[in-house]
Amino acid sequence: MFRDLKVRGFLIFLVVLAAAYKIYPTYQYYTMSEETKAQMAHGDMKKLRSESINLGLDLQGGMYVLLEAEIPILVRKLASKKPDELMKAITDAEKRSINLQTDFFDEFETLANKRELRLIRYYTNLSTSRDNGSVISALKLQRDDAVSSALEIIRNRVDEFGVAEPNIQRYGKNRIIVELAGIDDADRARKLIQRTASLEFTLVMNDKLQSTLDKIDATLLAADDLKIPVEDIVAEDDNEPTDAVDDIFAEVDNTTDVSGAISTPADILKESPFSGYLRGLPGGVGVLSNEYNKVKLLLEREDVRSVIPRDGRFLWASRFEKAPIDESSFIEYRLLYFVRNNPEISGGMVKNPQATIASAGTDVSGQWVVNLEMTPEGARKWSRFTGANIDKQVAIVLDDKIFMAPFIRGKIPGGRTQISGFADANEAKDISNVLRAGELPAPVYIIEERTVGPSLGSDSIKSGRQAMLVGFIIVLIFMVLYYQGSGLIANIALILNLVIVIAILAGMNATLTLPGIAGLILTIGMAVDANVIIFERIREELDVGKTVRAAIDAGYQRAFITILDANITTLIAAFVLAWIGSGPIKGFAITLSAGIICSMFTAVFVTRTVYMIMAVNKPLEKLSI
Amino acid sequence: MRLFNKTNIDFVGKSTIAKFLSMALIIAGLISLAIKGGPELSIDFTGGTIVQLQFEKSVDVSDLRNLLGQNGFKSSEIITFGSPNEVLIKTQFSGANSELESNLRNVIKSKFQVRRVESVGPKIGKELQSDALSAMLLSLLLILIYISFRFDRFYAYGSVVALIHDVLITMGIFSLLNIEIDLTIVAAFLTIVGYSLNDTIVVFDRIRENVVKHARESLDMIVNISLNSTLGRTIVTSLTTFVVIFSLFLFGGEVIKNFAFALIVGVIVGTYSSIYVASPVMMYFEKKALAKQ
Repeated sequence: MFRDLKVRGFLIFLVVLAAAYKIYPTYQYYTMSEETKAQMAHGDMKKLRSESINLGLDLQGGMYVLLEAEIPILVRKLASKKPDELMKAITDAEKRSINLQTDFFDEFETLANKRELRLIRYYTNLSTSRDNGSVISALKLQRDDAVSSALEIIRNRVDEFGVAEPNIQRYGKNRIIVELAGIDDADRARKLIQRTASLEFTLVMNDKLQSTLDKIDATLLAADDLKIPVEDIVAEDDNEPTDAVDDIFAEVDNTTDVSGAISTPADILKESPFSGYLRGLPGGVGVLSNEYNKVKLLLEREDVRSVIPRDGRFLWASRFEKAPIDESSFIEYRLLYFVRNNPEISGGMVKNPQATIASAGTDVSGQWVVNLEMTPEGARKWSRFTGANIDKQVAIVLDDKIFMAPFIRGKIPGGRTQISGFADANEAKDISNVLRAGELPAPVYIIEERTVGPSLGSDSIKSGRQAMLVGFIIVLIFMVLYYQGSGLIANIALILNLVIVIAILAGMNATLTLPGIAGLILTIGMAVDANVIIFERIREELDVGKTVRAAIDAGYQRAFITILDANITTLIAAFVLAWIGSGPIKGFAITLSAGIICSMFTAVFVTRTVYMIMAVNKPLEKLSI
Repeated sequence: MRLFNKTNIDFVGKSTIAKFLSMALIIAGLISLAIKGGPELSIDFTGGTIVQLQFEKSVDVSDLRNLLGQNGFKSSEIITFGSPNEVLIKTQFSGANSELESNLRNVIKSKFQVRRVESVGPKIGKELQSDALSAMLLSLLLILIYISFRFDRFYAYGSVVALIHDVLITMGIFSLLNIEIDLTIVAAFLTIVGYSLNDTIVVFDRIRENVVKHARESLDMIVNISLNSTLGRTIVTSLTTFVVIFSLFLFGGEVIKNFAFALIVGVIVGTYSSIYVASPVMMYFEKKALAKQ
């Protein structure tokens, strides 16, 4: 069927159309002015971004960090008794696992078996079976929990950077990747990521909230700079994206966020410039997402801070929530709490948090709950505190953000505590991860970092673009000089090749890195190879006296096998690179592979079609080659 | 335009000269590698930290070296990078050291901008090393399997020797010029492997065709005919590839320069080896096998 010119033409047309369709969002995104970007609805923007080629951290500037949880330290800590032979086995297993690049637990199990260590004696509570294998499995579960907890801690903190689309993900068994685009203070980021977590339980002081709000309002009314700065703030911060929210609620995209439409009227703010923003929302008192930045800045003002009672402070909820207004719209908000400054319980006192389904017989049976225990000291404090504050809220605070604020239902003696009120397993597990942060189960360290400043990133884009342009133009000119009319045809194929490769990258939602650009450049040089092979072959066939038509036929036929064989070897190398290589190298391998594969379509199929079109009316007698 | 029309170069007869040239290059590289104790590996493989700083005016590297040495930045290597305003500081793995930047600012009084920080822990370095090695070996193995399957074992021997030849010479040149091997260079090596084979296969493909066509001719003759008739293609493709890589080398910026350089060396050596190494080696093994029969 490929003999039919119409079929061939239609196929090429389809490919070009599909390519244009895939490239359009990328074109749209990168030609859009910053203002238009700011005005776009958040959901639309996100969609556009996800459909266009993203720039890698090495091009837009940013920080890539690989963190590792120190598992041997966790295993040491978990041991109830710490005899020398156990500690030595852990150290030896760690060394072996680093040197041989094997899993720590495999080495630990082998060593324990070889040295006849009965692990159950040191990890009594972890496992019900007594053999080393099951203890190791139990320890592995502990590791998983520890890493999940570390992930939760980092996620919570990254919020502070205001980075547009942070990427935080688990990598392998005990590693975490953090990618922060466009960050300008790497020192601060490093510190925040590695900082020890601080977990606290502290009293929510709803009784003092109103009087504090009154004081803040009075202060702000008296402040003469208020009018102007508030307006300023509105203009500046309205555009700031709140991405954390989007990720969590991505599934309800079909409804509209109407938070913006119901912002606080100016006449209310005239009377209560601060408390006017606060409103009763599901879960407590909160602020609409579009007014969050204004309120946050107001709270940071020196004069406001000075009137907040010494024993309390305002803390934000860990994330934004959504509440439906009606079937098609919702509002987005963040809760604000006024809590006691001195925490009742600090992280070190919380032990063994577990998310489980409550057992039958209790009034929450069948629901997800989190159980936790306390150290003896913690249990004593906790018992006194809960007894004195029945029916009040206690906030669970991690790194100064409130994850939940359950009500105290009664005095809790002995430390054994149950938290209920979770919608599902995930919510309960999140909280148990947060609570585990208090135990500091496994310290997390940076083991690899790659940070590129924004100026270097834009320099790289500039120089990459220039290198590509120069190389491209020289190749185009050379082909026309050397192969004349046929060179022109090859050039059409080359341009089409680049367009398709870019469309493939956009379609894969790939990230363009500096090595990726290098791959594109190399593709330009190598993609013409197929045409060179064909043209040289045609010239040879013409030399032995074949007609133009026969020479073209023979040229393509013979050359195709060569092209296939030759390109497959390059493809093998590129595929291995894409498979084993990390980040930027993967980008190089992907663009190179895409380029080579496309070149077989453009340089063989498309150029052949052009020759066929040229021969439609009368057979070609002369060939410009 | 046609530059290599009906050439009749006796490639096979001249292969002794090529043998000496290849040997000389390989031995020079090996000596350099032996003296320096192996290839010079970057922090990607050894672990360490590099910081690229950009100053407002040009900096005196030896002053900076003294300054940092006196202030506890142990075993720092400092070189200018690209422009005289920019330096690259190579030091021990800073990992947990979150104050790297502020420490530098405390010591260095003139204004600068941190352009790039790369930190690789020793453990990751080892992992990257074995990843790079297994990537190289795996792709070599797969390519060999492919060639043995598409051609025969003599062609496979020829291409392997050509590949080893290419990588040895490129590594030797890197060692002679004191260029560090990092992750992107390994990617470049692999690309060279693919590219060099690409060239070799075009030649082999023609030999295979001519063995049938000119069955009466001697193997030497067939190889010569094949090399001559593919010469135009070999040179033109190498030229277009060379042009784009050279443009990358010139304009692509400092970060990608060594990568582009590795590719330049690779294209030159790869083109040479597909003519002067792969085919003679293939012939050598084939003749040896024939003599045995």
